[in-house]
Amino acid sequence: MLNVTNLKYEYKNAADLYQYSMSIQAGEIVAILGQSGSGKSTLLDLIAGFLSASSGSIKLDDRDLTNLSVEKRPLTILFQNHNLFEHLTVQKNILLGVSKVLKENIEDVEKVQGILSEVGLEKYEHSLASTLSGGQQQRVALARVLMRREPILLLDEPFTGLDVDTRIKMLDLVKKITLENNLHTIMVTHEIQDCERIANRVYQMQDHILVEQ
Amino acid sequence: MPLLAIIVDGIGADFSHIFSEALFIKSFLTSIGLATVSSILTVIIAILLSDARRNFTVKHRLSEHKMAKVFSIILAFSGNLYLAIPSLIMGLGFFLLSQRYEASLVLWSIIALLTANVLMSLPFALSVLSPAMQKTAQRYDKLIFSLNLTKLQRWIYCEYPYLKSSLGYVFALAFCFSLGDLGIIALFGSDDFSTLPWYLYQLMGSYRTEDGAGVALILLAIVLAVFTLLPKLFGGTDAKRN
Repeated sequence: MLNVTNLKYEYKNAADLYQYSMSIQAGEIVAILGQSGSGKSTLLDLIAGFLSASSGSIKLDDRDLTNLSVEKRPLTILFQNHNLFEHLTVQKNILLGVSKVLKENIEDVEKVQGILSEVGLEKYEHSLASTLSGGQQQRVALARVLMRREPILLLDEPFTGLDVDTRIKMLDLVKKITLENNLHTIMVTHEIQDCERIANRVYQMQDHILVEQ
Repeated sequence: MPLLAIIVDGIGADFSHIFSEALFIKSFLTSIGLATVSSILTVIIAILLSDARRNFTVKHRLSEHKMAKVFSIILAFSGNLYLAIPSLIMGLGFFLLSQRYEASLVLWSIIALLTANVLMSLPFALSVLSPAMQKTAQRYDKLIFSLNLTKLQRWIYCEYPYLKSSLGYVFALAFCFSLGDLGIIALFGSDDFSTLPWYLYQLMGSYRTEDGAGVALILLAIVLAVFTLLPKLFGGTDAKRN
């Protein structure tokens, strides 16, 4: 279980204090709703380690993640954009999730092929990321999630701007990946339909405090 | 018009005579050598300063370092310092140092020229690279951190592909600045140590205007070739950003 307990953060140029407490079971998707600037993405930045909390804790089972550096945290993040290096091929972008040298290890390459067929992009293995549509790029980023197999998946409005059909496909894919891999998935969104479709529970930012609905 | 005058007069110069002069060959090789080393140093220092500045900007944003903003400003200022100092004054400083600390004058000349060339090119190099690196950081920092890429991997997979034409431009700019500078060499130049601008100055001083136009045309041709070819050698256009 992922536990976020009394996590507090204060931006240096603003008096607002953001407070977060939540818990997520393995295989569960929790959605965070709120207006732009309400502090939803700040929570993801705190869990990912991009920001340091002034107090509180983040624990995955018995493991305290609060003071770990970004690279040591067992998680994968999908952003709204810039999830891929556009000049690299789809295969290389996915391999970057596990191999930083990008030497083509046959085992990893076969794994990438398998994962690409799972997300329906097997034909695009050697295409440059820049040639893919927005939806396809996000699917490649999801494929990298599968490659990394980290227990926490953070989604920072990754499907904003996609058409309805693609969006639904992506949401279903997230649900499938979460269940099959027992991930702890946190999805920040401002679309209530996204929550209704895949979230097990919904939290909302109210006056800078995270509250379960 | 001045360039046209150089082209018209330069074409008529006796190039076989110019190329047969030992001092021309020596000046040419010295200029190319100094310009190459200066450009390499400028690119490396500009990358390091831009990277340090970007790191301080990130630390300031994350409130990790209270002095980060101050360091960032100091770095930006230090890169532009040379704009406020005439090269002749810096040259005189090096000349005085060479009088005080005995070493070969050629060695002092090389140190002075390299320092001045790098400092002269640095503000322009920083104005090109720093915003480009900040932009790359804004877009990809989170992805890079989450993928746990090292500095070298970051450079190979992210920075270089997006910056290569800018690097080529900076290299070409530094090369051309260095090639044409007459500030420091005016004090240090001699028959033992000369560059093309100093050689050109000597030709004009001895009323060899036709040869001077020929040398100026050679300088112009090198500068044009460098500006056209170097960015392409670095890999053409930057990788596409969506």
